[in-house]
Amino acid sequence: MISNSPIRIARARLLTTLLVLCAVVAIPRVACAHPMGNFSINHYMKIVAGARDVELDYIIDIAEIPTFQETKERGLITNAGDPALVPYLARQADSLKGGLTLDADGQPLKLECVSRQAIFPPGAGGLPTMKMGFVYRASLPDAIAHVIAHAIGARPLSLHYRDDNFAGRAGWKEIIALGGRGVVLTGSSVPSRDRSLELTNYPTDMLHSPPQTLEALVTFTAAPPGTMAGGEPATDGAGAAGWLAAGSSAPAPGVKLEANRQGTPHSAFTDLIKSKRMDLAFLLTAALVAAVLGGFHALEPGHGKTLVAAYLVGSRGTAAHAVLLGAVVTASHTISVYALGIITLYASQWVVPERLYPWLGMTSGLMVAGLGFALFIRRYVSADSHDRDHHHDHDDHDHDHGHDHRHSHASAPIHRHTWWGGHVHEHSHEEAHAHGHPHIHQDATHAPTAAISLKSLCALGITGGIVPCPAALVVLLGALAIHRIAFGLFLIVAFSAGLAAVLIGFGLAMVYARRFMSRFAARGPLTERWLPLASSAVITVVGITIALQSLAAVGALRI
Amino acid sequence: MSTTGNRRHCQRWISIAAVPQLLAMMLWLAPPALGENTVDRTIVICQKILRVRPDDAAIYYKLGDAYVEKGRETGDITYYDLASQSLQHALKLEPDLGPARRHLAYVLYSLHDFPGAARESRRAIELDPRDSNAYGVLGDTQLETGQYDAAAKTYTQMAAIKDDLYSYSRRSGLETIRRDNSAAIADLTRAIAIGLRDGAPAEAIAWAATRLAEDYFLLGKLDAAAAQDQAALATDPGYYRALSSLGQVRAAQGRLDEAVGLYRGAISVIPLPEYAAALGDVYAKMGRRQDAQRQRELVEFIARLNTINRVLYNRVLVDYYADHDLEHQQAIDLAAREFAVRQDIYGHDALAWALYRGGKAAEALPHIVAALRFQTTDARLYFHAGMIYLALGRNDLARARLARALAINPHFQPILDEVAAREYAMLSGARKRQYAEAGKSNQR
Repeated sequence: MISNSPIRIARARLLTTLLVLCAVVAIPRVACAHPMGNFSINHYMKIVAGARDVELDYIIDIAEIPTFQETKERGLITNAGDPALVPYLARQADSLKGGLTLDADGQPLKLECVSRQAIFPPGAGGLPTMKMGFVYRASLPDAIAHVIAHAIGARPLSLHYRDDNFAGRAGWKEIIALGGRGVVLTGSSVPSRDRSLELTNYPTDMLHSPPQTLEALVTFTAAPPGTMAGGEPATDGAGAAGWLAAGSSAPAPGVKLEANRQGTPHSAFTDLIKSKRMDLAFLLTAALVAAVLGGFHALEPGHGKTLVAAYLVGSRGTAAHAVLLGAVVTASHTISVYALGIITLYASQWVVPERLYPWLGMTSGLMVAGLGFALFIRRYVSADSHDRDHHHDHDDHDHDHGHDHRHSHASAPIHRHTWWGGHVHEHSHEEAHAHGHPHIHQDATHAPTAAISLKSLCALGITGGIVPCPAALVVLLGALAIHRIAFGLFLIVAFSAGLAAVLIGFGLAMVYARRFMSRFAARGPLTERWLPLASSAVITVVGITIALQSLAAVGALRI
Repeated sequence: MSTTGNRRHCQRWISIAAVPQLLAMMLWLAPPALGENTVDRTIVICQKILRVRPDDAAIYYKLGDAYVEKGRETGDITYYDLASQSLQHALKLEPDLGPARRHLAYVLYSLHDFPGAARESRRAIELDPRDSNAYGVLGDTQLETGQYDAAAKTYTQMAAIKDDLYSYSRRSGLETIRRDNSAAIADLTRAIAIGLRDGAPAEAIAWAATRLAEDYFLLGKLDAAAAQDQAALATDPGYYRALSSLGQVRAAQGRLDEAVGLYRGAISVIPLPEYAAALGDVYAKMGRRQDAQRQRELVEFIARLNTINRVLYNRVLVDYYADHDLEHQQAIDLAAREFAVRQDIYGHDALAWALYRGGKAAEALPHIVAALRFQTTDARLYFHAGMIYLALGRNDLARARLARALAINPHFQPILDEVAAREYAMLSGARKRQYAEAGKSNQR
């Protein structure tokens, strides 16, 4: 339904820019369901570099088979309350510690386990899996701590971390690094955001394979004085600090373990919304780009704009009509993008979205054409029968109030009332008119002829907007692919806002242009009869064109 | 949707041509994350590109290729699933992408979907009749499903196009089965040499070396086998197949402690039930009954998971049950189910062995005969045949088969090799007694 116009190319470029922006800034990282297979051992390490010590938050998530091996070998009962668990965890904390290396500026640091916990979430067929969490703390040597504390702006210190536990075993291996209180990271080989929500969520797809990071290099230095004075850790907002700091007020500080949330997209979704905070400047830029894209989309030939224009010109709508129609087109467009996004995500096995487009387009085109044709017939008939009375009113009206109307439209509450009432209350309007409020219904009184009804306005808006545009869909899917669902929804809203702005602007331009014209051109057969007829004819033609284009697309897809 | 088909076509071909350069450039530009190997980096880069160019079939193919490699390295089926997703996506975008078709065939083969693998590899050959690897995958599929003549033909076509590590090592599998062991060993030796020369991935070279070790083991040449396994471990340290293969050799040599260490090493990488079963046998031989029991429980546990996950192919479990004289009916059912779709000599053997344990030696006989139709040099096959003949009271045949098994490799399997030796001794003793009695009666 879209031709290869320069606008399209410009839009494609913008789209690419937006996606690159997403890809670069959001640092996409994610992966698989206990996916990792039932023999996997999954690692997670959060390194929190502080001014005096380094905190290591370590999670080991063990799948069914190794859990079975482990429990058999150690005689464990897979119950978090089992008393045998306490000595077992202490031993594990020790032996896992042996596999971890942490150097500060080349000096090996001594790790001390300050918190440990285990849970046994059920896995395949209810068989137990085991998830252990440990918090290790390593004090920085005095010399280094001194540098951090007193020599602001000195050479950054480097931390080198390596995990040699369960070497060679398949699994998810993720490391993140954060700057703790009074410290900022100046460099890091690992991200600061986690992909698995602390090993509770391993989304599977080919573009997000399991991370395999077992080694990290982090450099850090003291935070600038301002942040020190505030006493707030200088973080990037990706989740303040380690478990110890976060849970310091709780009676049992440290580890918080949760079962794998795979298969419960709702909680994963809400978590994303809650936890993924982003840089405001980035959000604004992205929103702006999306809005501009939406604007371009509205300018594309085919739907939206033309329909709005033709309808408003033909029906002599008000500014309110223009806004409403633009809003309806945008709303239905947004909803259809969401719907198609959902189809693409969850039903793509059965439905190929690319195949869906032409049919959607054709349905929409036929509906628009039908609506246009119905309007045409109605106008043709009503123009014949009711012409006279209204003519007089209008002549009167236009002469008397030509200039004032714009003001009254903008502010008079009664107007809003009339257009919401629209067609339904047309009789009372005529009464009002008789009682001497001619200015109220400059346009509303035309309703019978021009058929501005909420119903038809919405019908046209919905059919015009029902075809979701690929650009919006790609934005949404791109955001989904990098697991920023909230971000994707937000972008679509921005996109729609751009679209709405252009459509409404266009509609308003039409309304005012027509009104401006009508100041000069006396009401006659041209504006009263032929314009509405022509406009409904245009709507019909646009509808047929959309349908035909969709048919052509079907043909093209079959080539 | 809106672009014309033509334009999309052009874009795709341009991108296919540019992909290797693009990837090479990005591999060079992108700083390596610590501890990340080339495959991991390729995966990350492909993913990044695809986020911006979601319609790029060539990159999806490259991503699938990297996942296949990763799956081979780790033995983790997850990666085969990811590979299959990527390749299928590439093919959805570009149905004529021959290499993607062939890779998909290989993934299906690895997941034991033999009909699917045969179908896809045939389509890959149609798309590119000069793709030797596509013939290779088709040949492997035919080999695994017992179509040996067809496999021979396919391998000949493959070798006519290209001689590389993969074609030589593939051909060797058929040669081993057809009792042409020296040819198999020569081909594998050549495969390793070519692989080293061409700079093939370490895993591929180690794989060929392990295969060679297994061929030596079949022949009872334990020292040569150990040397190859060690070479494989030198090429790819921690390679789990080589660890377990060397464990088998050490167990046969009676170096049981070493065998335990090696098997444990392999299991720590990937707890395959065959490794746990073999480790259990070694423990049993050492008299560590509790440890043996634990490994057997692990095998049972994996079997339960397989039932939950509806795994169709369970030959390892059949062998485990039959070797340990357990779960007769279930072993027969599993073997029969697999045999219905996969009739290679080891399918015949597994079914025969399970039937024998279930007290159905008569039904087992035709299957063990079929399993030995090429007189494959495999002591296990002869041992099974001997036991089946013994149960049927055909002692001379039984004695001959057991003699052959013990001649090929007297330590073919812990515990069961002792059974073979004992039965053989009894049969021989009985025969001697028979002769002696016959002699006595003659003297009279």
